[in-house]
Order: sequence, then C-alpha cells, then structure tokens
Amino acid sequence: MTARGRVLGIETSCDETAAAVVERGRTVVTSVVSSQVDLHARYGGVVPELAGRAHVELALPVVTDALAGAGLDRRGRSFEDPAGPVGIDAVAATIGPGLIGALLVGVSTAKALALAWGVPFVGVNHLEGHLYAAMLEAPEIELPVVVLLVSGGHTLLVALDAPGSYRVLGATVDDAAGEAFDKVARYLGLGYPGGPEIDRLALSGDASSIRFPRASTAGAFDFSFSGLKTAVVSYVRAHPQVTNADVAASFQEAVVDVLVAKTVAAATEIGARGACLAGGVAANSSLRARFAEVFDDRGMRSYLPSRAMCTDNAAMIAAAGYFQLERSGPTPLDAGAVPDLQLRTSR
Amino acid sequence: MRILAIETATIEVGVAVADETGPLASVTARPGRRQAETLHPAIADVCRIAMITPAELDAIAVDIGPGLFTGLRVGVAAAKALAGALGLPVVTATSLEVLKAACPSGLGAVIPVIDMRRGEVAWLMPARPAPDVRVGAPAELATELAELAELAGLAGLAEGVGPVLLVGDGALRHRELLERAMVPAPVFGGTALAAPPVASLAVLAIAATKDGRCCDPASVRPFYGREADARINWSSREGREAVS
Ligand SMILES: [Zn+2]
Repeated sequence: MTARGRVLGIETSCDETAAAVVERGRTVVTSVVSSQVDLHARYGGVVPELAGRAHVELALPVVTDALAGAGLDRRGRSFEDPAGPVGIDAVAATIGPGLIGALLVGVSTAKALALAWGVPFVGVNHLEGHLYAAMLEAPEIELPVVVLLVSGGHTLLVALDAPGSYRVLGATVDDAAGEAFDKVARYLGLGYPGGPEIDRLALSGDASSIRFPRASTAGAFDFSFSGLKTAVVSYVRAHPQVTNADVAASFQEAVVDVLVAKTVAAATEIGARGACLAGGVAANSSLRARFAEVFDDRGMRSYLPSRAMCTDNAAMIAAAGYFQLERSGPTPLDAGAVPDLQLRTSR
Repeated sequence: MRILAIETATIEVGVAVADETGPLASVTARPGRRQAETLHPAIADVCRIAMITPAELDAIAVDIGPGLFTGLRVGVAAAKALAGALGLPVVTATSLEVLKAACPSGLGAVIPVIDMRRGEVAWLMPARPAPDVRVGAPAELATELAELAELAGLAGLAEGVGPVLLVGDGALRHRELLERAMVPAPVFGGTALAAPPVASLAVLAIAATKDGRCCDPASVRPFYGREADARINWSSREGREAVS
C-alpha cells in the first residue's frame, strides 16, 4: 500500500452497481452509482436474475467511470503518465449479505482487477460498509458513536469504537424497518419502492390520529416490526373510512419512535460521543428530523449522512476495505460470496 | 501472441494460456457451485505454470455460453475486468463452438448439446454458424435429428448423414431420448467431451485474434439463450426502500 492508500471499492449486492475510489478510508475521491431501480420497479421488487444480468453489463463501465474520476484510465494508470505505475493500492468488493448472483459479479470483477494489477483483494461485509458512511462525510467525527443501520433487509444498532472495531448491540428479531415500510406500502396500494411513498404521504397525514403499538423485545436494543405491520392491516380492515395519509403518518411515527428511543438508550449506555444514521431508511425525512432533534436535546452530536451516502454505494465499501486491510490483511483469491453474511462484533 | 482463456459455462472451470504453438498451460476443475472461488486462483496458477505475468498477455478469451447463468457471469465478469485492467481485447466463443472445435474432424456430423437445466438444452445443427444456436426441450432436438436423418435419406444417402456425433453435457443427460431419435443411432462423446475444453477455446481464440475477431471488453456479455426469470426475492432486499 502506498502512502496515498487508494482503494477501489465495488458494490453489487442488490440493485445498485457502484464503484468508488477512497483514500486512506476517509477521503472520497470519486463515487459512481448506477441504479437499476427502474428495471425492477414494474415487478414491485428486485428480480435477482435481472439484477445479475445488469451487474455484468454495468460493472466494467462503472469501474471505468470511477477510475476516470480519480484521474486514471481503464488500466488504472494516470492519464498524465499512461506508462506509469497502477494508481490503485487495493480492490475491495462486497462479499455479502445480498443476492448471490449479484454479489458474484462484483467479487469476480474485483478479484480479476486485483490479479491484473498485482494488488490485494479485500472482501467486505456490506453492513460494515454502512457503518463508515457518516465518517466519510464528517471526518471530524469523534468515536465511539452508535450507528442505527436501517434498510430494507436490516435493522441494527452498532457501537463503532474505532475504524474496524465495532460491537453489535441489537438487531431486529423479525422484519427489517424498511421491509415493514414496504409491506405496509404494498398493503395500502402505494408504489414501489414503498418507503419514499409512505414518507411523502405521511406529510399530509396526522401522525397522532392512530396509536399503533410500539413493540417491546427481550433484548433492550432489539427491534420487532411484524406486529406493527399486522396492527396496521387489522386497523384498516376495522376502519375502512380511514385515510391512507393518516395510516402512513401514524405507522411511520410508531417506527420512528422505537428506532430513536432505542438509539438514545444505546448511546447513553455505551457513553457514545454521538449517533449516526445509516442505510436506505435513513433517507426518511421524519426519522432524520427526530434523530437530530432528540440528540440535540441531549447535547450529543448526530450525524445524518446525505441521501447518496445512506443508500448503497461503493465509497463505504472502499473505506471498510481500507480498514480491514490495515487490521487483518488481504482476502485470499479463493473467497466467494456469502449471501447471508451477518454483522458480528469485530473482536 | 499469448492468450488467457476462461471457461465457466458448464460445471467445469477451466483456464488456459496458449500461443501460436498451442496451449502452454491449463487447469481444469469441477468445483460444483464454487466457480467464483475456483476461477481466480486458477488464473494465478496457470500464469505461474506458463511462467508469465498477466501483464505479458495479448488477449483474453472467454466462453460466453449458453450454459449455467451463474458460472457464465463469474467467467464473463472476470474476463471483462482482466481485459479492461490490462488494456487488452476480448475474444468470445459460444460453448457450442468450443465443444465442436474440440471434436476430431472427419468423423461425420458433430452436434454439440449443452444442458441449460429446467428441461432445456442448447444445440447447434451441422453446417450452421454459431449465431444459429437452438434452445428448446430435448424432444425438439430429437425432432430435428429425425428430420436430419430423413433429409439425408431423401437425398439418396443410403447411410443417412453418416455417423452423427453428439457431444456435451446436454447430450449425455438426455442420451436415452436422443439415441432413439434417428436411424442409425447417433454416437455419443464421452465424459471428456461433456464440458467445453478450455484448451480448445484457447486455440480457437488464437485463430480468431489473428483474423482480428476481437472486441472491446465493455461490449462483452453472456449469451444466456433464455429470458430472465422474473421471480422476486423479497428476503434478500436491502438498502433500497426509503430512497426518495
Ligand atoms: Zn445496504
């Protein structure tokens, strides 16, 4: 690794093909994301085979764009000095969790680039990548922080003690927060993706009109959303006159209440310097507003990454790859993808 | 001129390096579903055996299918990335062309048949160019074999079309059905010709490169032979939902 510590990150776990170049795990040089959302929208969900096919076509052009953004040609050489050395020190790719046929495209691409350039390959846990999203936009961040990672597949509370060192404090015991948004949106006959639809509709509804349950769980920092989804369905059945806007607002209020309350409790317990939002659901406007307000009230810093950094991107994968390479070295070339990879405490 | 060839269209993973004199080194494995785990170490191994570095290559060859989708994507993604990162062109061949090229000539008509699972095979009729790949149920291939025998009979060839050699994992899998499809019965290639041999791909690619039949890596895509299945995977979704 040169002093510049330039890692090319590649992300293909679901329906975004992304590549980025990040220096020393902190400075985003370039980040390119090609979304397939339109490709899948008419099916109301991600179609794995379509995602796999799209990733194969998009991976190389997206990598080429990212390299160009870092002043490098497709061969990884500087445009000014095409005969010079390769300007990338390592190649990182998401190895899981995600769709197997999608993950394998990124893993195969990254390992081949590493082989061609003679640089290390690093296989990265996608969820660990999300933990660094806030750090990439707020280099002044002081650790430890609590990260609330909320997306369509995951709801996790994690203590980030140092780069590469984290503890999982809690997780959902059933549905992920984003999954609950999506299922309720489908039940209400809203479009796909469901999260933004509910977010928009909730603006015109009364969040206090219906008191949906806030589920308690055995683990202090665990979550449960399946009961809430069931409560929404039975309420709407019993009250056919209710407006979608009121249901959306009240449902969203219940989700945000639980997410924020547990993050505050976790941050207090571990003595965190602040709290970060991460994952696709972190783009939810009500969650962002409440998160900032509640931590402000307690005199704690809150970090709300931009929408581009909340959703899947490769900059976070490159950052995670850099820290992993520093701590535990390269990943062997015989590594594959792990579709059900979990996030576990790192020590 | 040195070419690295990548073969992942069927259950085999193969990598070879060849020059104008023929294959210099090759590695073949049957890793089951572990193509992604096997391919890249095999590329490193083959380069070491051939005593070259990736930077000394002149082109990358890849089998684009038809075959098993996941393996094709692993192989094509690797070929595109290698070629891009090394500034090299890509030579593509279909799995059926490679199988056909692996058969000794002069034996009669060769029909390569690749297993595509889900009750389908892909095949190439004699004297047809590669773009005329047929995909369908084994029964459709049986019908075409019967027609082939009948046409030969009408043309006054007492012996039919001569021996028809069926090769590929699709032929072996549906052997019983295909054996009865024509008279005289076709001859079947053994298990050595079940998967497209990577050395044959490398030799084909050397010839293609000499003829200038190369392409830019960005334009290379697998030849699936079947539309994508639109089944939705709800359980594995992640990160998409609350984007507005
Ligand atoms: Zn994600």
